[in-house]
This record gives sequence, structure tokens and C-alpha cells, in this order.
Amino acid sequence: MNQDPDPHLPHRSARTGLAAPDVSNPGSAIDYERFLDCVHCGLCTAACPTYVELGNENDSPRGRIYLMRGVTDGRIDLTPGVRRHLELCLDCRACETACPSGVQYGKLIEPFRVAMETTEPNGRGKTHDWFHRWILFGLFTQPRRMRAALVPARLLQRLRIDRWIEATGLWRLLPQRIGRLLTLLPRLGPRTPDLPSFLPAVGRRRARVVLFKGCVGDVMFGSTNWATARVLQANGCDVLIPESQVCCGAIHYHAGHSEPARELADQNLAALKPADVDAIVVNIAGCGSMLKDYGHHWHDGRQADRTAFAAKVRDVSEFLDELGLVSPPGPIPHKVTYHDACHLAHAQRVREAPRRLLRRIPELVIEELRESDLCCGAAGTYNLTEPEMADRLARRKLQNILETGVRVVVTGNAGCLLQIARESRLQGHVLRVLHPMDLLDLSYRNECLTI
Amino acid sequence: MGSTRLESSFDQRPISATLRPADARELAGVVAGAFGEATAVYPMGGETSIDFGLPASRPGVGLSTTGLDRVIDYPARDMTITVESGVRLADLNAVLGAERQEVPWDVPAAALATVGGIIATNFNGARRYGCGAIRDHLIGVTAVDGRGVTFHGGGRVVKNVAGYDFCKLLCGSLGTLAIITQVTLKVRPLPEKRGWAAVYPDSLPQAEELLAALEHDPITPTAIELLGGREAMVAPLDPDRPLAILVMFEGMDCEVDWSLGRLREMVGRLRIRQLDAPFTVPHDFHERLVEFPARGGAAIVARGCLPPGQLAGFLPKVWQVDPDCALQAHAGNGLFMLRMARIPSTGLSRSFVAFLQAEARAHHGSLVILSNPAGVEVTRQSTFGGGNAPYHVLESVKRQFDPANILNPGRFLYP
Amino acid sequence: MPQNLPTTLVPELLRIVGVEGVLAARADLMVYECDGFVIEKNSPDVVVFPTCTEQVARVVRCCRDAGVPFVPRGAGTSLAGGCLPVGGGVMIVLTRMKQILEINTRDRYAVVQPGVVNIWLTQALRGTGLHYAPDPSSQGACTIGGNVATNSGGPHTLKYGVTVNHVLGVECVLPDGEIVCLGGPVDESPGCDLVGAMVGSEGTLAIVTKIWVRLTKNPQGYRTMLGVFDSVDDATNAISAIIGHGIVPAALEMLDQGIIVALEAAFQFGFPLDASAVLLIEVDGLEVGLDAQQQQIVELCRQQGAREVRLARDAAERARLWKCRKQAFGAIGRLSPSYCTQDGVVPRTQLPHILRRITEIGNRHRIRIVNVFHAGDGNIHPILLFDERDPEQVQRVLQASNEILEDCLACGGSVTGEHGIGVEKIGFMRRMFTADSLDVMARFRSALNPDNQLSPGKMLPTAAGCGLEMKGSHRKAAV
Repeated sequence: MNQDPDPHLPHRSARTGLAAPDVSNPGSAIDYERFLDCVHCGLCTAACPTYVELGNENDSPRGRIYLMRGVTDGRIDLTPGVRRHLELCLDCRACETACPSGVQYGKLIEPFRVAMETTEPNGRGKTHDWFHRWILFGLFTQPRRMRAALVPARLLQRLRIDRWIEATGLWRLLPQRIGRLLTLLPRLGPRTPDLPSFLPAVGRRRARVVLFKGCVGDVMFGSTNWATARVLQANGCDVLIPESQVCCGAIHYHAGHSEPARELADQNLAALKPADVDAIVVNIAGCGSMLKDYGHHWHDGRQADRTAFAAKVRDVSEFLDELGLVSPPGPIPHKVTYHDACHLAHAQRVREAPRRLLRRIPELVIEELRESDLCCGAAGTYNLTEPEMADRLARRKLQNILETGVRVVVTGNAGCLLQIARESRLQGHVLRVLHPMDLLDLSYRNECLTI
Repeated sequence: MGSTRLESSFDQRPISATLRPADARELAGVVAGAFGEATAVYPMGGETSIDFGLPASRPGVGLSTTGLDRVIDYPARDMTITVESGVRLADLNAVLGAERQEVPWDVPAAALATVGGIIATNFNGARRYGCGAIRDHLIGVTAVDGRGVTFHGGGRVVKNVAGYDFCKLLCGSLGTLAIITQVTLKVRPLPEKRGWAAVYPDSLPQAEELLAALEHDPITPTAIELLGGREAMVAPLDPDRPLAILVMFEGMDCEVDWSLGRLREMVGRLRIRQLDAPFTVPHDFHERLVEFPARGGAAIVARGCLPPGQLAGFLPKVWQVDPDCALQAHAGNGLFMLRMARIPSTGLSRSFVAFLQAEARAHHGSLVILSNPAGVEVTRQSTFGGGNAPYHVLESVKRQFDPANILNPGRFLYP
Repeated sequence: MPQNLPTTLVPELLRIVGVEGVLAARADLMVYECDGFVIEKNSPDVVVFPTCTEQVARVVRCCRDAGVPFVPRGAGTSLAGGCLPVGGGVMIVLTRMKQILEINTRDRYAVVQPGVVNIWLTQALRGTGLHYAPDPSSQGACTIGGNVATNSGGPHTLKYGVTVNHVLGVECVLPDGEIVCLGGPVDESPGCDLVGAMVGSEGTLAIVTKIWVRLTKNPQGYRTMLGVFDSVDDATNAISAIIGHGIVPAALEMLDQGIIVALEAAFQFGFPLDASAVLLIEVDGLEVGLDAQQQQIVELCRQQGAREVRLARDAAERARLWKCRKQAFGAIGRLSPSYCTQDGVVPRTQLPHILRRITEIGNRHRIRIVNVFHAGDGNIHPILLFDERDPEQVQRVLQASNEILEDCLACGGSVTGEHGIGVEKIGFMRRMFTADSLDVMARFRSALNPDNQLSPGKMLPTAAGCGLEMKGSHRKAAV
């Protein structure tokens, strides 16, 4: 038997220190106590999408923690195989929900992956390629460039060429990730006008909020942003939408690029002025989760400001549920099902609020979705960088949705919306994928839902 | 006493003497001696199921456990009891009754049948449906293997996963692996009330409708009995009806009353002729029902088990073989008991082995002959129904427990 | 490549399960060196992921021919080292055999593969009015195959029984590679009950590849109560009173003050922080009888000195109470950096005695012990709090654990009610069973597993004694 050598002692000093990561050891900057929080009970495993799909414990939260600890302790090398297991993590945090011991898995895997990228010799890290540099960082996080890039896409859609490309599978001939991007594009409506910088409360003023519009969301979900703003107004909120806000930085941070993310965070701190408002409201779960994490991603002189900022961040469903929803008047006589976005249900622990809001809509029926909180495979940019696993999870999600027999799926995250819609289009199913605010907005405006 | 036993075909001729040890140690000594001499040992309890299995063929001694009749420990508030294996079921329940508790086993001739014998034959009855099988009540066992070695499995607490579960293994082993000397049982409180309902379905499909409806309703019967044939209709049931379903409820007054009302509605919806519910029965009705397999006069008594939903499809084949066959099925569990009026004219090999037993197997079930007093065509095949159970696995277990093959040799599934 | 394997073995395994189904790199094997029990560790030499029974059989034959030990594993949530590959060899991981093959509501059974997670089955049964009764606290992750191996329990076993009471049949692969079926979708088959003996055999007899399980009707209603007591004695007396009164609750759990404080910090349920103990009591069954049973229980609790008995108002509150109970062990992290839990059983009437003894033992060894357990079954889970980085404390914890289990045995109980022997408690087997009984157990094992090539070093001590005796109970774990 190879008894585990007592691994704690040499690392105890790492508890408080936040020295630059040791080039050979990406775990050296992680508070070792966080590894010890894991009692190896295994209750997280079945909550993990990659484990459920693959059945290999190396692709489970418990296994990944064990691998990271093994690398940190020097028991194993950071081999390409080990890297793969860690890269395959969706960072969906379902394991944190499942963990009875309160292990903060995100605080292990995220810094570890950041360090794994920065310590990769010769800049050959997975995210140092052209796709990350030009598309993910260069385009996605820049609404203006993104909008420009969507002009030809709109044209393709208007001419229905996109459907032809999808139906014939021609998209597979494009560079893989570009092809996937193309198929992920939702049916783009006519370009929505930009949101103004201020929208006043309707009726008695109950709160003053800032709306965070996101970068991708602002462009691809302009109508959802408008719907969110209107719902907030209808609930008595003055809505501020400062133009100087920028991308939340999640795409960079999760790809292991900590510095650019820090810069974005600080720009948002300056733009959104948390002290002046009751809440910073976000309608994209992924962004919301990142904003709420600003307080502990970086350890420099600005931690207190970021923590104060993070304390004001609310997902829009969470916010409205706490505020007390003004009864939406218009009936929507449809059956819908609700998919729990990981970054809402697991990272932010917001599960019941959106359901409670939806239940207030007259005549709307919510059918329970099997595995509603299992990741759909979108996971930020995961569906672009890990296509195989992303597809497996998308198929699984769609299968569960189809089993409910409903045609409308509601979910609170942009990535999930795109991912589920893409899968149903590729499989030829008619499915409406909506944000809860889209439905509430219809109800407040007494409009019908068309499928 | 003949009338309270299975009709006996057990040929006692190979047995030179029957020993009745006074305690477990003495019993182990007898077995150890027999092991040394390779003498066959035929374990016996109340001898109520003595002719189940193949006849004894090798000379040997009978070994009665009836001397082992002590209650070892009865911590009533723990709801367990530890007794020696020769304690008779009626005596056991008398002891338990004083504390308003019971072991809910339904076996014929309870005044004779011993706890050890009931376990060895795994004789489950009507209340298996609501109360669980014999194996579910047995939490500890002490036994003597074929070398005379005393061993135990389980313990005296209701939850225990240490070691192999010999309690389960010895259920239904017919004394061929070891002789049980002492057991610890989980007991249950006596219910406040018991109530019966009886209905007369016109046909098996109609019966199946009710049986399936019972499975899909929150109602919780203790027993669901399907009876068929004149001889099965215990008074006051109408012997002229082809079928009857009896449903028993136990529990608090209000639960039993509610359940009977609910059943009445269910039966009404299905338009089944109903006797009455509550169905007033004589005080010994349940006991007389339980005696069904032991009443005299049957040419063949057989016992089978099928997935419950398959009963309605299987039973017509039984009546095809013998139109006068009487049936008592613990229908909720798919267990059934058949009493044939006569040996089928086509012989057992055609009517049983090639037909009924093959049909039962085709439904994942089994059909064994418990009693065949005339000793007609008694073979391992006709008695146990053949089938694809892994007999070689059972055999290798047997060899470990009884290396000299002295315990009930030749009477069970293995030679 | 490990040196003690024949060179032909891995290529042969690759031919059977394909490249996706074999792990042989050291880094990949490391995570399989332990399960929920982390004290003993040993890496397997190879891990294989069969996807069907035939593959399991071929893998087993391959191991047999190579003379290599092999051990099955499910989700690896065992708390007793049930999945530890003692002596290395091939680990057969069944997590890719995860199909629910059949659900039959008429005959109330389901057929599942061993890798199906316990709760998946109950989820798949939603809407049928049926459920799968055994509900170990790890049910969100543990597999039914693993439950069969360890005969798992759970809070609701008080009324509904443990795994063995719900298994009708198994298909399994014997250590010689033969596939056999024991039992099936019927309640009884002729012959001795090999199915019953297979359940709880901790993977030492065969590898189970398919399971027929009994499904249970959902009760019509529930009443869930929280009895609050000012002394542990009163609470344990109330347990005896309830059981002795002839009431069989669906569940009867006790939590003492230490655990209440931790749970309150974690979940803010509103537990009374000054109570010495609370009982979580649930009755279920026909709606018409529940109020009366509830009243009786309330009355009995009051008679035993309960300060108050609270009632769960609705399904949501009931769900929250059960969530608190099932996640109780996780909340321990708030009390202490490490903990170790035991799994003793005593006759129910001995609960007041054993709890007093636990307090004494804790005081004597200066170890804080909190309790949350299946009181109705007499199945205690004392949780010993310590810091694993202090070796002297670890020693005291080991000593205290040992004494508690000794006391359970002295009361006529057992050292394990639901976690299993595994490698952890193998040293206690000689205390629970005579040499003759252990010999018969070893003979029984050899009937199916003659060369002890399957799961060696588990459950039964070897003739030479056991090297692992009790050094392995200092661990943190969630139940």
C-alpha cells in the first residue's frame, strides 16, 4: 500500500500568501485548506455532467480535485491527460450545489486553470490560439465589432442561406469553431435600437437600479434586454443603463486570462457606480455570476471596492422576487418548461425565484423538466472549445425537453438559450427558447406568445 | 393429526431411528458424529411439510429439533425475539401475543409447525403481501452445518450488515445446507383491527382488472387472495362461484374502515359482484384459509410463483389440466397453491413437466410439487419443475456446507 | 505500465472494451486509489469500463486467465473501503452500465443496470405513484449496484427495510466468467435464497450486472414532526416509548445539540439552539389514520418531557427538514476541520445507555462527539470531531471510536448497520463472529469465489489475521 505522505505541511504557508504561481506547479497559489474541505465522499459525482456522460472519475469534481491536489503535492505530473480532464470541466458548479461539505470547487478549478494557462511553456496553452485571441476576446467582448460582424449573418438569414447551410451540413466544412459559431446564431430579428441611458419607473417608484446589458447579450438579445428594462419599469424601478459599462470579463477569466478580466472589472466598477443604486441587475446568469465573484478573483488593493460592488449584484429574477413582483396581468395560455442555467442555479443558488415569477403569469403552466439543472453544454464558450462534450450534453438536454412534450423552454442565460435553440434547429424540432423576462414582458403588455 | 398435515408420502423406511436432542450442543454432536460416519441425517421439525422434496433413499437417522423449544430472549420493547428453532409457531405467537405482538406468518398446522421448519421450507403465506416474507423477519440465525460445526449469521439488532447474510441463504434450503438451531426474529405490533372484503369476479380478466387496480391505488391491503374452485371456497364463501377475491386490511379502526369503503367504490366502478364489505367472517376464517394446502384428499398439492400480472393468463392452463383443481393464490405476490383432485390423466411428465412447469418458466416463474401422496412419477424434474436456475452454483454451495452430503441427501434440487 | 501484470493483459482488455474503456496511465489511476474511506489507499493497475454484461464476463475471464485480482466499483461512495483494490489488479468500474432497462408498474418491479444512480430510479418513477424505497443519504450519487453490494440502508428503512428487502433478483458474473441469473421478476424461486446472500456480500461473491428491484407504492400522506427535548435521555426514552407503543414510524431520527447548532448555521431552519436533542419523526400511510398517529406521537413525546413538538406545515417544509437531515454530515465542516463517523447498532432500548457511554468516552478522551442517527433502528452515527493534522488527537479519536464500537457489541449490537465491513472494520469481524462462523463464511465465499481472486482482502479477515485492524477509522466522511 502506498500510504499518502502527509502532504499538508509544506504547503501550509500558501494559506495566506498569494505569491505568483510556481511555474512548475499551478496549484501552488491556491489556498491548500480549500483542497482539505473535500472529504472525498463522492456525493458530487452524479451532479457532474461530464461524469454522468463518461463515467470516469477523472472527469468528476471529486476526481478533478484529487488530480489538482495530486499535481500540487507533486504526486503526479501535469500531463496532457491530466490537463484534458481539467479542461473538460464545464465550470457549471453543479458539484457545489451537491456538496454537503461546502467545498468551493470554483475557487479551486478556476485559479488552477488560470495558472495552468500561464505556466504552459512557450505560450502553447489551449487559449493562446487564434480563435481565442481574435474571436472570443477580440469580437465577443466588443459589442461594436460584434454588431458589425452580425451584418453579414443577418443577410444570410434573410436570404435563408443559413438554413441551407445547416440543413446540408455545409457548416462542417468551415473551420470547426467558426462553423459552430454560425450554427449557434439565433434567428436575428431586426436590429433593436440601443437602450437609452435612463428609463423611468412606471407608477410608484420602488427602486433605482442599474441594468447590466452584457456584451454578447447586448447584441444578440437586444430584445430581451429591452424586455428586462420594461419589466423593471413596470415594477416601479428607475433603470440606469450607463453606456460606459463593458464585458464582465468572464470569457477571459474562464479561459485563464486573469489580467484582461481584472481590467474589465475595474472599468465596470467605475461605470456602474454601485453606491448610487439599490441593485445592479443582470439578466444573463453567466455575467451575474462573474460580477458576484469580483470580490475574490483578484487580491490587490481594490478588493473592498469589488466586494461592495458584488454585494449589489442581483440576477433580475432574484431581484424581482425580493422586491415583490407586481402582478402581471396578461394571460399566456401555454405550457412551458424551465431549464436551470448552471450559473444561476449552482453558481448563484437562484432556483425558485424564476419559477415563482413565472407562476404569477395567468394561465401559464410549468412542466417539470427532468435533469433541469444538468448543464446543457453551453457553459460560456465551452460549446465552442469542447464541441464533442457540448454536443452530447445538448442532445441529452433536448431529449429531456422533448419528453415533457412542451414547445417552450424558459431559461435565464444567454448561452443556454443559444445552445438549446441550436440543438433543436439542427434536429429539426420546433422549440421556442425564451428568457423569463421575455414572458413577463409579454404578460405586462398583454401580448400573445407565438410559437 | 393427519388432517392438519400435508398428505404424507414420506417414506420413513430408510430412517433407522429419530433422535431428539435436548439442546443445540447435543444436536451439533449428533451431526458431527454422523459426518464422521457419513451417515445420512434427516432434519425434522413439526413434520408438517415432511414430504416436500424427493423421498429419502439413503439409510440414516431422523433428527428432530422439537427438543429445542426455548425462548432465549424476548426484549419486547426492542420488538425482537430470539428462540430456538423447534419452537412451534402457535407457541411463539402465544408468547408474543401477551405483549400484543406477533410474527405474521401464515402456515398450516401452526400448532405443529416449527420456526426452523417454516424457514427451511420458506413457507410464505397470505400476509407476505403486506407484512413481508419470512426472510424479511429473520435477523439472526444459528445453525449446524454438515460437519457438525455451529455457526451464526446476522445478530439480534434490526439493522446489521456485518458478514454474509446466512439468514437469507438458509431460507428455503430445506435443511440441506445446515440445521437451524436458533433464530432472532423481528416482530410487529398486533393491529388494532382486521377487516375483510370479498368479491366474486365473473372471469379471470375481470379479476385481473381488480388486482391491477389495487396495485395502482394508495390502498394498502395486508393480503390479497384469489380463490378458485369449489374446494377453495371457505365458508361463508359461496362454493358455486368460480372465483373469489378476498382482501384483508389491518391497522387502526379508521384505516380499515376507510379502506373497505374505498374498495367498495373500486369494485363498484369495475362492476364486479360484491359479497359485502365489511365482510363478516367467523373468527377462525383466516386460520381455515391458511389450512388450504394441508387439507386432506388432494392427489397433488403444488405451489408456484409468477409475476402477479401473469396469473390470469396462466391459471386457465391449470384448469385445462384439471377442471376441478382448487386454487388459492396470494395474488398480490403472484404466489399460488394448487390442489388437484386427481393425477392428470396424461401423467405428470406431460401435464406438469412439459406443460404447466414449462409455462411457468416461460413467465419467469416456477411450479413445484409440495405433495404427491401416491408417489406417481416422482422425479427431481417433476417435483422442482426443472428450469434454468444455476443448480451448479447451488451444488457448490452445498458442497461447502455439507461436504459429505449427509443433510437430507438426495431430497432437494441437487443429487 | 505496472510490472506485476502479464504483458498481454492490457492489450487483451483493450480488445474487449476499446481504447475509451481502459485507463492505465498512472495519473488516471490515482483517483481510483480510494473511495469515501480515505485512510487506506492503493491504486489499481488497470481500470476498465465495461458497457454490458458480456464485456464484464470477458474482462473477468481475462483476469482469471492472467491470475490477476479484480474488484468491482460503482460510484465509490463506500465509507468502509469497499472499493479498495487490495493488492492492485484490475478494477471493473460499472458506471457506464447505467440503463434503466424496464419499469413494470403492474408487477411493481424495475430492472436496472448496476451503474444506475439510486435517485435516478425514483426520478424515473415520477408520476407512476411508485418509488424505490431504500434511500441512503448518499442516494444522489451512489449506484444501485453499490447498494446491492453493501445492503445499504437509509432513514426510511425503519418501516420499509434495507436494500435486501427490495431486491428480487440479480444477474451476475461469477469469478470464473460465467453469467448466471438468480431470482428475477418474481417473489420466489425454488431453492435457497442466493439472491439474499448476494446482497451485502460486498463484491466478494460475484459482480452484479443487472438487478430486479421491488418498487413501493408512494404513501398517501405524511406527517413530519420535530420533537424538541431538554435532555438526551428524554429523547431516547421517547424513541423507546414510540416504538414500544406499537407505532412504526416511516423514519425516526435523532439530532443532538452539537449537530443542531451546525445545521442551523448551514440552513437556518429554525431549530431551537438551546435544545439538547431533537427527534425528527415521520409517519406515513393512509391519510385517514395519520392525524391520530401524529397525536399519539405528540402525546408520547410530551410524556417523556418534550418541550414542544413542531409539525411540518407542508411538503416544502418537510422537504427542507429532510434536506437538513440528509446533509447533516456536510454541516460538520462548520464545527471542526476533520471528523470521523461510526456506524454502530444497538437494540433500541439500549439507546439511552449507549448515548451516555458516548458522552463519557468523549469526555475521557477529550474528544467532542456529536450525534445524528437513525434512532428508530438503533443505528448510531457518533461523529468524532478533531483535527487530522494533530497525530495525538487522531490517536485519541481512534481509541474513542474503538471503545464506542466495543460498547455496541457489549449491548448485543453490531459494528455496522449500513456502511459495511469493507477493509475498515475487518478487524472487528473476529469480535462479532466465532472462528467457526468465519470459517463457514470463508467456505461459502469459496463456493463462488474459490481462488479469492475477486475482491481479495475484503470483509473476511484472513487466517493470518488482519493487518488493517482499526488503524483506519480516522476519517472524515458524509453519510
